Amino acid sequence: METKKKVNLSEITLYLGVIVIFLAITVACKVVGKDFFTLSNIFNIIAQASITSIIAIGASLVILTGGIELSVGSVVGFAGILGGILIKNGIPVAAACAAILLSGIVFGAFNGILVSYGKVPAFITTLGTMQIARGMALLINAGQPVSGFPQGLSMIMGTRVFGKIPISVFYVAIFYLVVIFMMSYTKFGRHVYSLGGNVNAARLSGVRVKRVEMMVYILCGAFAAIAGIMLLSRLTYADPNAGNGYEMNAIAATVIGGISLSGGRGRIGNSLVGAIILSTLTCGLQIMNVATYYQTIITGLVIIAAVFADKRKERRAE
Amino acid sequence: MKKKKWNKVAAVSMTMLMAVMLSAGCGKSKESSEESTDTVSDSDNSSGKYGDKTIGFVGMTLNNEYHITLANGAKTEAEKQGIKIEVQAGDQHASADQQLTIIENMIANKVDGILLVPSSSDGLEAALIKCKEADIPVINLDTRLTDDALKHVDMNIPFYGTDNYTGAKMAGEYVAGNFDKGVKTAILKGIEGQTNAADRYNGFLEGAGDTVDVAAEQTADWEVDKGYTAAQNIISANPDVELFFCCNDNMGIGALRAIKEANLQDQIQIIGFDAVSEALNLVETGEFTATVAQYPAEMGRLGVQNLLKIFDGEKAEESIDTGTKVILKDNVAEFKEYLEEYSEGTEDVK
Amino acid sequence: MSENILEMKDIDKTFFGVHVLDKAQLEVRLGEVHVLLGENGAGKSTLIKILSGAYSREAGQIILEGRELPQLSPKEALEEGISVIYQEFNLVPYMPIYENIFLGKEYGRTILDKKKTIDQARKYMERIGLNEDPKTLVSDLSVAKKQLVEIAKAISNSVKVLVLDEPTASITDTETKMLFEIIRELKEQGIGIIYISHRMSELFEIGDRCTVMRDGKYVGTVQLSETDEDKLTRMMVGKEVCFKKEENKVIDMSEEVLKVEGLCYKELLKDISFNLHKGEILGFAGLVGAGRSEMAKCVIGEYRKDKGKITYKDRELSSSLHKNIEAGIVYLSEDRKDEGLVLIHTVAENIALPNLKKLSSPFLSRKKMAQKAKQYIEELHIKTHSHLSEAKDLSGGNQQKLVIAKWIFSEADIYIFDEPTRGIDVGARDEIYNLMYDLLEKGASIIMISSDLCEIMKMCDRVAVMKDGEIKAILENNEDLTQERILKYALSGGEQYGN
Repeated sequence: METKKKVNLSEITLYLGVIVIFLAITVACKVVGKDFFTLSNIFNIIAQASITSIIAIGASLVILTGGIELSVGSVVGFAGILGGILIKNGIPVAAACAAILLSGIVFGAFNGILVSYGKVPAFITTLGTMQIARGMALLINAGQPVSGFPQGLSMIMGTRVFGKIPISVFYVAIFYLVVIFMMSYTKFGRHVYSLGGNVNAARLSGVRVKRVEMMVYILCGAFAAIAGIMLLSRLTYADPNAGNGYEMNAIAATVIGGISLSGGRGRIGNSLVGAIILSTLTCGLQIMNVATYYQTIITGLVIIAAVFADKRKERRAE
Repeated sequence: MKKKKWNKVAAVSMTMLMAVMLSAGCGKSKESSEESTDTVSDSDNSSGKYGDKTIGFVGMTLNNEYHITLANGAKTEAEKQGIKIEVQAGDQHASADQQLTIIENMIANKVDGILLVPSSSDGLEAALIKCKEADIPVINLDTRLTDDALKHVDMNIPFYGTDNYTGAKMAGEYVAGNFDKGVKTAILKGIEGQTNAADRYNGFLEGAGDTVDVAAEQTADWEVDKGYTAAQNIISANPDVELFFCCNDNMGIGALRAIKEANLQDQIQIIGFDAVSEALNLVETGEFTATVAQYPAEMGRLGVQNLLKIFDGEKAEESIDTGTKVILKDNVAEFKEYLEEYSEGTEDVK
Repeated sequence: MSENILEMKDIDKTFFGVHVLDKAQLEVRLGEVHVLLGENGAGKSTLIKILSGAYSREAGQIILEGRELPQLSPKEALEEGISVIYQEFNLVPYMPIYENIFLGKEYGRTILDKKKTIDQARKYMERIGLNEDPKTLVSDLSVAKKQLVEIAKAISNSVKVLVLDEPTASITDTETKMLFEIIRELKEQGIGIIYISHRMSELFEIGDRCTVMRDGKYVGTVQLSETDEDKLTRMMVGKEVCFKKEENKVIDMSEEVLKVEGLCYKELLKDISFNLHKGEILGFAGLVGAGRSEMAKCVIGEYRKDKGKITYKDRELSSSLHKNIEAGIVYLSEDRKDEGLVLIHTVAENIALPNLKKLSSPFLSRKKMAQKAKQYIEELHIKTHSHLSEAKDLSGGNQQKLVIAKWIFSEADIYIFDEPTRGIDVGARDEIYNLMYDLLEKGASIIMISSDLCEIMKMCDRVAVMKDGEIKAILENNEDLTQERILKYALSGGEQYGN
């Protein structure tokens, strides 16, 4: 029974952290005479977290296997500009989305094959792909952004359900529910955990290690492409430089969510909590009109505090 | 055992709490300074009618002098007029996504008008639509939104800024008038896809005409270090280059370093753009031949003034060209004087 | 007794409740080569690690040159003049010889005195006849020369007691002769040498006296000139009574479930052939490094075999690991922590890992997973707080039971156990043996790799004895089988040498 408590401890810390941040920001906003805790603002926060949190699903999967994925930000940029060109040339939005998804899968497969079958370290592989995808994003439209899209595109993100709730809340909810279910209740999900926990034991237990590893990178690429579609629709503007630095936001959300960078440990759902913490901070600090410089410092401190807590837990466990 | 765990939970929460407290503290100090300025304006300006209104200033970035001056211009004017202003900017150059997030948060925070320095000319449609839905007036500063974008969102947005094209053309004309025909020229350009970048590039070529023989052109993303590397490469590929036209001063400063290292200062001249203070010093010493001055503080000032007109129910100016000027060794002192006068004003705010 | 340079008296050490050293002792005289002999797991390396400061002792004395030593750290032991040269060298491969010799005791305060260092290094190298440029990178040297660098390093530390652990295991005969020359010279210089090796012929050539250990205990010390191989072997095996093998009622000699023919793998396996019958336990005996684990890993497909044919139930076995596991051949590694379990996952998750298909319909049932875990915890008497405890919190024996649980659940046909009882106390051993019998009853067959001869004699129907990557003999477990016979094949490859 004691173990059960231990498993939940990190989550208590995490959820408590969210509540503390939320309360502190609400109080701080009240002090300076601003409203933070309003329904519309909460929706805002989740909508703003949506893109990071979708990328964080893929990043978490990779990190759970003990790998790392740095190319997602560039893939987001590539996906956006690819979609922009296609839609601008009269391809229906749905077909363009399918093409974007495919491009993400191709980048993911490229990473996956190199990491699993080629045995190139994940850090190096995805660092390379990061550059390749960014270069291709600039190349396919000669570095020019694309804008002026039909209404249908902005509907993907712009729709409000019941007149109030941004639809991105539902995307996040659906994707997370599916992935959380997958991680707990399918063979594939358990294999992902075993891979990060002990790759030798996993292989000798009959897990097809390379295939699982490759699938994880493919999924990661696909989620980056989905985020690319969301960003394209949110901005109705395709910028080849978009998505710069998103990989770091996704990794930050993942580690704040308590997923161990050495793999095998952590819950995917908590990376959503991590993403929400990050966007709560941004939103709250902007509402309080804290200077931009302080915002980045505070975000950095929170990331370090979260990982510090995680490491302390690991050290204690040993 | 159990106690230890809770200690840790407490420790972590404390860290987070402290981070938030720090932020709250910042917000508070800002607030109190605003309050004090409110009282100041109450004493020397009887109106105080904007006391409950707030202007949101959405900058492109706050990590270069030009944009800081622009923001300071707006801040100083807001102080003077006794209205609150909130200044926010993305931490990365050219992030439409971050600007959208800032605008969303400002709307949630119920600002009454927005001064926008867009990160790209047509990347902020989504943000503008949100302003329109919330019925918040917007004034566009510095980088002009494209007509296409404005048509899409169906809004009438005033623009105050420099005509980059004209400024660059003036620089080009200076070259045409002072250099021999066929001067070997290298051009360092800004971020691909930005209207500013294209305007400065095209304006210069228009003004210079066939005086320049463009030997090389490279994109250096407005940045010093990229300007430095690009210039190094250009010099080694074209050792006979005689003139660098740099679409902003930062890239020019980078290029200067590369030229100094190559010991080619006698052969190569540099023309910059923006008239940042370091560039003015360089014009003074003769290391830069010229730079093109804009008046960013003016944009901020006019933005605040006209937003107040809108608050008062009047009509804002449709469009103002804040002007440009080619700064040479003989007029640099004059311009510096003007700037100093201005920065004294901005220091009061701090 | 003043001639003793080193005395170790009544040394005790336990690991996880298992007594690995029980009043062990060792005496080394000034200028002698003292052989330390014993089976795998007899406690030789533990004793050496205590000497070198790598482990702490729980009781006993270490006396160096008549002076009792306190508990030392490895660095302090080195400073006292105790150097151990392990089979895996402690050298930095991409540094030159001279830097390796003087690593940690360089000349010069902040700036290295390179010239002096090289000159000194050359002096030590000449003393042991290592003719190489001191600036050569260690990675460019042969194994034998790396060994000499280690010895030079030891001399530079003014070594008093030098321990050589299986020094001839991976060098050629000529190199061995050269090494012996150097050992004799060091002996002349008054250094006490502890020599660990299994190669009987060598021992008699180089050794002066020999101390035999068995099960962590001191058996005796003999003058090598006054003894022979047979006597030594008997000392190693002892008169321990092994439980007689029970009759195997389920064995079916007519049904061959696995047949291996001409299996080769790199330098490690040479032409391995054997067969396994239904309901049989086939033992694999041999010394560490004989190639037993490699054989197992080639069979299941973890290693890609170079040559050979493996037939399982009349069909050629694929080289794909996961397909073989699905077909019912499983390997229970000797390395539980690294290859058997996901230590940071729970007991339930570990049991479920190879059996996810059985627990899913079509999605994984957490309830069934918990149920099965609880069932096996109870059936196998796995001591754990709950099925949600992490595997790393279990003791060695319980971890082993956990590994067995996950494979019992998978209902495999062939179980390859690699050292199933290593590091496990006696009580838990019997439980594991019983689990193996249960598997036979359920129709499985077992290959058991073990270094514990008693265990082999007790459990196996036949014993394959391996040495240097070859099967030297496959012996029936009948009245004629003795531990000595097995050991002889394992040590010298055949009975003809000893008799």
